[in-house]
Amino acid sequence: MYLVYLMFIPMVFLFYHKNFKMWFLVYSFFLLYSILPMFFKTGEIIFCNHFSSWSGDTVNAMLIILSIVVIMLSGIIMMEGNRMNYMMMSFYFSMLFLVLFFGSDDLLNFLVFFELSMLPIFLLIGWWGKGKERMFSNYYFFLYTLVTSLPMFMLILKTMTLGMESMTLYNYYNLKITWFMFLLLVLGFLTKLPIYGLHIWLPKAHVDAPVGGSMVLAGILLKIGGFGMMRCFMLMGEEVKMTYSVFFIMFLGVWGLMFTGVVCLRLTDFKVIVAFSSVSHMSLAVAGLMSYFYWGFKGSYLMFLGHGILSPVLFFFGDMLYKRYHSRHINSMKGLISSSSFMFYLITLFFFAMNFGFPPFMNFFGEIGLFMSLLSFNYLQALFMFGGFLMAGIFMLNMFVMIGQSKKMLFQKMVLLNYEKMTIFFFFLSYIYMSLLFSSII
Amino acid sequence: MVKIIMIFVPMLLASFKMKKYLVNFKSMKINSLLFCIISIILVIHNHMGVTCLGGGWLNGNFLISWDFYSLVFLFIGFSVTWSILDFANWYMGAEVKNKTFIMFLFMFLMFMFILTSSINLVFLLIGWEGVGIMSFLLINWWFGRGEAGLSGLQAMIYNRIGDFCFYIGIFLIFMSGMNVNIIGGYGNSQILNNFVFFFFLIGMMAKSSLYFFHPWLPNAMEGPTPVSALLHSSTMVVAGVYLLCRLLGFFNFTMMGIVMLVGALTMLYGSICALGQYDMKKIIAHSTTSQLGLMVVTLGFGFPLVSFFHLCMHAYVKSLIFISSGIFIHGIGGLQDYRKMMMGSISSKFSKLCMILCSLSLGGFPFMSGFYSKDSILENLYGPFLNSFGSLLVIVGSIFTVAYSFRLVSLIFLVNNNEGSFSVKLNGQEQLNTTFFFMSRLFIWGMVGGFFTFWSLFFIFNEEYIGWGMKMIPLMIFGIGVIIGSKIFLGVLMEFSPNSQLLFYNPVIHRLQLMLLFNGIKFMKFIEFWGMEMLWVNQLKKIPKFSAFGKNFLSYKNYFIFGMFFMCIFFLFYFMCV
Repeated sequence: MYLVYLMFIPMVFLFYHKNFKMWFLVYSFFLLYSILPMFFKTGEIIFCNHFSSWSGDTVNAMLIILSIVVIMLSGIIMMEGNRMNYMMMSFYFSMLFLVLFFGSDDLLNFLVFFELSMLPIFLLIGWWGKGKERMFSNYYFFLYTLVTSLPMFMLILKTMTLGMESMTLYNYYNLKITWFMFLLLVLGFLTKLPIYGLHIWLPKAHVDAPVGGSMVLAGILLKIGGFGMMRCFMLMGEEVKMTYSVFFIMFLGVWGLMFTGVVCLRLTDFKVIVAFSSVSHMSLAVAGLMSYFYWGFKGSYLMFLGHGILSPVLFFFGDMLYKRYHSRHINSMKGLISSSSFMFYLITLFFFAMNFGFPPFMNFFGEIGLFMSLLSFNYLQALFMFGGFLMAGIFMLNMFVMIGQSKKMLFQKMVLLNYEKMTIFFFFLSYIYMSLLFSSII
Repeated sequence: MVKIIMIFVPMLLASFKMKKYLVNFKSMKINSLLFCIISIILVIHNHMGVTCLGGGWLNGNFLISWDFYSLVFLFIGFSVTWSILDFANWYMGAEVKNKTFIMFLFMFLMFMFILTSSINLVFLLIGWEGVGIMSFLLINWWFGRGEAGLSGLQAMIYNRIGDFCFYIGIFLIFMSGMNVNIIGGYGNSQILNNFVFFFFLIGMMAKSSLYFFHPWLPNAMEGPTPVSALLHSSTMVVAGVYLLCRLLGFFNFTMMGIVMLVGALTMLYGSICALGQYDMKKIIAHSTTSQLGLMVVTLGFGFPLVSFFHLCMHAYVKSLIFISSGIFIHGIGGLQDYRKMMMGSISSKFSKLCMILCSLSLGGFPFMSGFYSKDSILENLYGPFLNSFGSLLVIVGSIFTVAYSFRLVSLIFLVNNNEGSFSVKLNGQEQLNTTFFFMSRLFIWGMVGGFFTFWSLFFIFNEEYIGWGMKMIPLMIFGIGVIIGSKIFLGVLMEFSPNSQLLFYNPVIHRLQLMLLFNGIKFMKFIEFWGMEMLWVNQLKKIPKFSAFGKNFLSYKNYFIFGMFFMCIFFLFYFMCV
């Protein structure tokens, strides 16, 4: 599918165009519509042969679509206020790298774009972030990912020299996997996800990144880890569940589900709270993956998709509130219900509620699948799951109550601008669309 | 699933017309009448219902079944909501967002009907959590008030604890290989482990505010009175009891004993708390708790139909009590403390009538609605029961029910206490075009509904032959309750603090939880420090600040050492692996 490469070339020439926003949207939608047919061809893998390097199956298609949607909207949001256009290069490249990553058939492509997709966020945080601490965040982000993905790099090179370079053609490689080998292989993806023990880069990166960067990071970059894990399972097969490191990762995931929730009750920065909620969702998802049950897979997949739409919206809300209240401290934003319209209040509650699993949307079914698979694996995890489930509801609603209740604190009514309405509406529609049509995802 | 949504479309269309938030009450009446007719026809001809299938997940179908329980509940839900919407229109007429309020009530009703109609337990959760969220939204309606926000949050938290146990219950059903659809209502004798439905019971306890999860209901009275009338007396809190009615065929002997104990405890607790309150709505809230306990006790004894009958009659009676109290609250300018309401005003005769007669009906005065349901309960208790403790608690609870009802009624109407509290006259609250019609509908149902439905819909009770003495017990309960109520209002229990009135449950449980939470955080921080930071951060701290580029060449050695260290480890493992 070399068209994917060719499609992006004309956009480079349009960076300093007067109507760059329009061209960006045009290209994004064009790419989206060209990939959308893949979504409806269930069971097939398109362009899969010995000579392809880019293929698409159902798992891929939804994530590619998600990446295009999230990056497109994040780009539009970042462009408001007449910002510099060359920043859009990072969004452009991130879209390119992610589409190529998710569809990559070669192991080499997989690896190269895995590492490259980190770069645009590095630039966004370093050049367009605010505050001196962004350099530390950059260090954390960069080093965590690079150091932990090094063993995977070497193992992939080894398998490629053995002649197995395709991810989609072969089912199980019949490799003899020991426990530390599995752990090292998967460590890179675990930091990307992030799982609880390797998560401290995420709050820092979110706080220091601009809105668009946070949205892209939370929306799609975290799913790279999950997607990589799913591919690893496809490569390695059933021996994985016999390795002992699976238990450790599952424990970390479930522990993280509970304690990130507990920590969130005491945090005061809106972005950090949403970052920790990302950590909790992804930890749960990876724990479900490790259990190697079908419902765990489906649950984690739905969790990825659902979270990929909800998290950017929450960061976007945070940025909207920051622009009005000039602070990210949740004690400073009170009285949203009285100063905003009813629709905004309802939609805010809707998104907050969907975050902790409000039926009948995707996150609910994802959580059910994950809970069932984890309980099948070992019912003693119910304690942590109970704590995490409870805390997720509590801190989300607590934040909502603290933001919404109280008399009017803004000196003017909170009016939503056009691009804000468009973003919220678009995310809302895509979430509902995905939730109601999940029978075709499955 | 699209087909299922289509069924609820007329109701949604009724609320969203062309103008923003304009609610058409006429379509509401039409809807309710239609459902009345359909339900009555279907139920009288053959005690069977309608099942609809739809596409769904989890290898199952999204089944909804309009059988006896669903249809009767639909009818009752619609008729009570009709009256309450009229009431809300009047009560909240001067509010800023009154149309939003009504739309919330509609959305709540939609979720409630999804809950009662679905027999797939996973899709029942749609209604379950939806009802929880709508309750949250409606309790903290007056958003300037801190207590309202906290009460909403408290309701959601208690519900969420129950939700998790519900999830575990569903999981156990999946694991035991069964289908999650409840087909056939009660009487299905499938042999299951009694452990499975224990979790469902906990879920229902949290939703229906039974004993261990009860604190949220009195605090939920922070919401406006229509909310209390609809959610917290008639529809939402009966969700758990309703599900228990449906699932009762699966419970074995031990479980039904636990159910009965929980119900008896709740009933007693609610009645005792209601005797000491001075806030009108809180008395009625505790009364609701106690009546729910009564319903659960009958389920524990194995009579789902009787319990459901009491549920239906209780809905009418309780919502009318709430409405009357709402009229009084409006009349004296927003106060809920009945000590300010002691008066002999004559401008509110219809509300007074409603309140008095409904309280009597609830207590079980002969031949009103409450009598039919309560008498059935009390008579059937002496039949095949094994635990006299439960029936004793029911009798005591019934006595206290009458006691607090009598106390409320007498303290508002029969005492003229001009010294110490100012007496207020309700002016112009009751006009024919504002409050009469919806109250009269509920009133008629509350008085003679029992008579008519007992001999038509609920006519399939087993007859119990009991002696003369046993037969007089409900009347004696009534008499003893009146005596106790009249004695207590002289001031025995009114002096205690709120904590002791609620028997110290709230502080103990809430502070215990906070203690566990904070110790948990300390433990987690300990592990995080020694586990993760000691490994990584000591290395990362050696990275100099960003101004090191080109300045300190020697600082690069830290990078080098760090990198070499990890490279060595990885190469070691690599050669070991391959």
